[in-house]
Amino acid sequence: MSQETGSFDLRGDRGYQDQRERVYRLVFLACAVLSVLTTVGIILSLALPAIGFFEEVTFSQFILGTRFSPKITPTVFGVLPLVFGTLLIMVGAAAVALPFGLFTAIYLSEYASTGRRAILKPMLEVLAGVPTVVYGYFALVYVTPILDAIPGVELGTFNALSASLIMGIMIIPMVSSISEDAMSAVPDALRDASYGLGGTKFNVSSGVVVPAAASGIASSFILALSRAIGETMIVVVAAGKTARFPGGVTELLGSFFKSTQTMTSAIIELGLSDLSGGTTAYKALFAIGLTLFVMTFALNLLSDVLVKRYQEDYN
Amino acid sequence: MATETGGEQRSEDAGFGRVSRVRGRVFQYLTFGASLFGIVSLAVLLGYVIWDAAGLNTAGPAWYALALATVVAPGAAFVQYARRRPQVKSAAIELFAIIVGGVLTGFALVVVLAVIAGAERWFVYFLTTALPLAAVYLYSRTAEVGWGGLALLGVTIGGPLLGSLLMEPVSAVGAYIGSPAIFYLSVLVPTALLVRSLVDDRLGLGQGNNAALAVLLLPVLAIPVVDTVPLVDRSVWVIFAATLITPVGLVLWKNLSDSRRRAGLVGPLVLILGLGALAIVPDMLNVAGPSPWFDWQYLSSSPSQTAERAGLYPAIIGSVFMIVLVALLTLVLGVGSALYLEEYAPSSGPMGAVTRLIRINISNLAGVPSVVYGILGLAVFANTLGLGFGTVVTAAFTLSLLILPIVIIASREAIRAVPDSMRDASYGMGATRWQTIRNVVMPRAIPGILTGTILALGRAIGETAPLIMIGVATTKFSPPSGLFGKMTAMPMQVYTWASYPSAAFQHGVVAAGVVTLLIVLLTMNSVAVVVRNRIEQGDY
Amino acid sequence: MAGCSSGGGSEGSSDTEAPADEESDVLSGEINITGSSTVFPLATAVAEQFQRDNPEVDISIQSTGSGGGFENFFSIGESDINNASRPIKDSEVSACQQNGVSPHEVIVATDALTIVINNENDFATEMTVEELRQIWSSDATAGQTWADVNSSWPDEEIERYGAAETSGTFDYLTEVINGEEGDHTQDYEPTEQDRQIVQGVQGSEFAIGYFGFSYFYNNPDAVTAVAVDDGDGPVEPNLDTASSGEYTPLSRPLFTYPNEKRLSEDHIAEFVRFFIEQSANEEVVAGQVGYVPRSASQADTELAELNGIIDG
Repeated sequence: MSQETGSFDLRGDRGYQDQRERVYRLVFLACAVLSVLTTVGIILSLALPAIGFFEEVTFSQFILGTRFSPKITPTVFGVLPLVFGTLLIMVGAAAVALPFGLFTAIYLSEYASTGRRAILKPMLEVLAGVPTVVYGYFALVYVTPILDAIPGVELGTFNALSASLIMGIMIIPMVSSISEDAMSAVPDALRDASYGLGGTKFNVSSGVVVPAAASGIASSFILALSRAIGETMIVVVAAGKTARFPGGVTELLGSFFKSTQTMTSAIIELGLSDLSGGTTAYKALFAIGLTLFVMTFALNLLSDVLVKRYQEDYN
Repeated sequence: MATETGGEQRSEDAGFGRVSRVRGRVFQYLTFGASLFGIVSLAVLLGYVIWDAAGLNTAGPAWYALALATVVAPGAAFVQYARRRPQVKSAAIELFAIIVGGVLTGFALVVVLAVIAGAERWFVYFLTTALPLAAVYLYSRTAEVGWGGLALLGVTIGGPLLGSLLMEPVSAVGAYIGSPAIFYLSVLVPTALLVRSLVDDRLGLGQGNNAALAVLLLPVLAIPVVDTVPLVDRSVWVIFAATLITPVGLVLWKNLSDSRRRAGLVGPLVLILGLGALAIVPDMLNVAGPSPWFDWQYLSSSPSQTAERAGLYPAIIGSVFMIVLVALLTLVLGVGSALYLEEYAPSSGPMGAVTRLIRINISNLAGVPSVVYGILGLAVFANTLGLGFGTVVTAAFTLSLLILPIVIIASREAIRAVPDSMRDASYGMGATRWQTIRNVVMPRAIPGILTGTILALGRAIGETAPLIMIGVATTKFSPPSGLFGKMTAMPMQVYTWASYPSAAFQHGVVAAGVVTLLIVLLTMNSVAVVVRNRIEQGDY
Repeated sequence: MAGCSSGGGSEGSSDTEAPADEESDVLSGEINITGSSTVFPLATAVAEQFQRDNPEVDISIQSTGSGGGFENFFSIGESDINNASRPIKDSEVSACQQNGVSPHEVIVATDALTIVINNENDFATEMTVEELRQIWSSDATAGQTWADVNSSWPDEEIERYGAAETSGTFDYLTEVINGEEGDHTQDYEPTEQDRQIVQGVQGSEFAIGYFGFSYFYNNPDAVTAVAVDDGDGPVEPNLDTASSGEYTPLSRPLFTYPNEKRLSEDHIAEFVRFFIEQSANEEVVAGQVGYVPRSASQADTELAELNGIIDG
């Protein structure tokens, strides 16, 4: 530390500052590392018991089996019926959420005035925040009777249709908010260029903005599907407990009107059930959970990749 | 854009012709309708549930006529009047918001301080933690000392420890002075001080000291009256005096002195009087009114096999207890993680790879199904760490992990929104990273963080699947006895009731439970929206 | 004791709180009850009354299923009492003993598993056990009609509603009617919520369902109970026939298993005593819940046995 006349040494003595800085940094790093620990915890808590399960049921029997019967003899643990149930609900929910969500996003981003947006957005947040058990109750007690009253439609008390419709409504805000963010990120220059060429608002919205925001919109679709796959209470309350695997196309379509069991519903049933902890059936819970985790993880990863790869950079 | 009005005249021009607007209009209405679809569906379902919960099936036409006369008509008249007068509208909204906010805050404080913690326990922690914290904070603000942060940390850790050590003697003192006095000292006196500074500095109405004195004296004077009301005991009165009466008084004072805004105060008053009349008059006139399932008895009773006696009380307390813990955990851990990822994390090199991994990991965790978190909680917290099945701690930890990714993502957005120019200015002045974070970044990011956290907490309150997996009780008759006591939560209780066979449960008790959950949700969302609006208005 | 409310008594919760004077003979403590979903309504009714009289006792009940309760909670000492709709298995007893848990068997009621049909169904109001077996066992094929079972019945497809395969009620029906554990038809609507069975059966003239007597008791006009013929003529399920044993083979005893080691704690001992006393209370067991109560002498025997263990 030399002190020449005319120059100032600004370093000075910071006292314990540097150590403190390091401490803070470590503290915050620890917080962030917790998230990694969580993932590790999830994987371990699913995989370890699942390994025990796979010692009793072979992997191919599980993944490719088309019957799921933990108690009724002959007991068989094929996960495909549960996967089918999950996908069935997902398709139904997507049929509602994707179009409505996308159109909502287009309206909010392109057409809505600030006042309307200020009212609509909080309302959509409410839609997203309603507890899922309430949605399940709605589906069971109000929607099923209404749908059943439509002439020609015959629904069981538990059916996949009501559950997936309500789930679709629940997911709309997810699609709309992420898509809207993607659309807002499209710079106005593109819109103005289109207007300059004589386009109407409709041309601009559908022909310019939506394609430009396509990666974000696709990402929102995938995240919504992932949410639909993982949703539990709506299907537990409203969709029933019959694990079905359809034999043909008509049976497939008819499955909407009958009770269905999804992976999440099976996990709850096995967890709450009369089965003791050591049995194969109980361990199946973890194998199903692992399958579910892998599916949602893959979807989320896909969504990330889509955004990174195809997102247009307008800067 | 070609205009239509000039179409005829310009037809001789170089053929732009007419552009059909029909498609665009249809598309606009289509998208508008789409955005309303979900909201309208939910509103219809809400209508059904409210009908069931309010027991409106027993209300006769006379009651509806009465409701029209006392509530709907005056309300509509006021709205019509206030439409053209923005000052009146703003005053009415302000009063209404303060009343609702005051009531809810009062309830929250009563539940957390009086029921969950207990007056004596709160007294101990107030003296050892809350009071020193406030003192150190205020002092470090005014005296600009460097050890402020460290002192705060010291008090945060040492205070509760000291409190646990001194629990016996100090709570004996607390028991001696009585719980109304405890709340007077710990809630009302700080409120009075706050009022004094508010009135003088912010509202500029002068007479700050007088206002503070009024806050301190009036509740005491009103005690004889309060004693005659059976439902309200002194502690509750003191708390509500601080959270409801005082802010309402302030708002009234502030608006009464402004002649343009005065009329706005009439609005909420009319509503309250109307609702009061609707509650009292039907009995007097023998009009068939609704037989509501959702009433005070419901909120304050324990579950029961008989539908009429069933109540949500233990579940409400359990949920509140759990959410308070979840809020603390996720705020601390979530903001910490977000700060690391945004401020400290390098973007290159080996640590950079780790950071990227953490980022991807968090966004994937946000999409993991809630039931898987339940399995995690069961395996790690209930089994391995032995925290117990269905206890408050297990539930709190499990749900914290569930919403942590959401809180982290929201916090990161909020922190990222703070412009780099401000950070650079701070660094330019020679501040360290932590100083920059504490003084520049955090104050601006806090509203955004709060908004995201409140929305995430709203989600946590409604989660059922993880609670089922960790073994939360299907029925419990009393609130949890402590951190390690068994609990039940609102959605869990509603789910249990939904399986009871009788119609009274299905369309009565469960409906009331659903209404309770929705009120909680709407409150939290409204608070989040208000906080967010404050950001957008630039109050910060 | 955190959670004691001081001012909280004003919250109108006078139903659940008594003036807690610090007397030493006020019962307090936690009781954790797990077990059968069939016994759950009875346990809840008893616990509710007990808690009203002893507000300082914190009772939590979890409907886990009989087996799940034994294996996952009771045998490891997590719960103090486990309810069951079937006797404890030997394997479960040894699992308990390995962890120092000693289950003590108490019969608290009798359940009459009820077969229900739609009110419009006038052809199958009486059924033999063999007919029931044909309908409910794995021999029943998809598309089976009523006429396939009994030629005098209409040729309409049978719609079945029953207990989920993971419940004790399911176990009971399969063992007693179908003869073998796990031998149950797959062509049915399984549900843990007996209310849905009621709704399902109400919805179709050709529907048939089964659940515990309690749920029929609560909806006697919604559906019709089938009189079961086990060789001695058709017997309708009601409190008398179930209590006398006439309604066979579908009457089953319901159990509760307190952990003997926990009986040394006053509040748990008092609760089990109370449970036994209430098991003979017709108003509660039959009136409120819908099971067959014990007779006074049966309850006395249980009580004497219990006191012997507590004092011994």
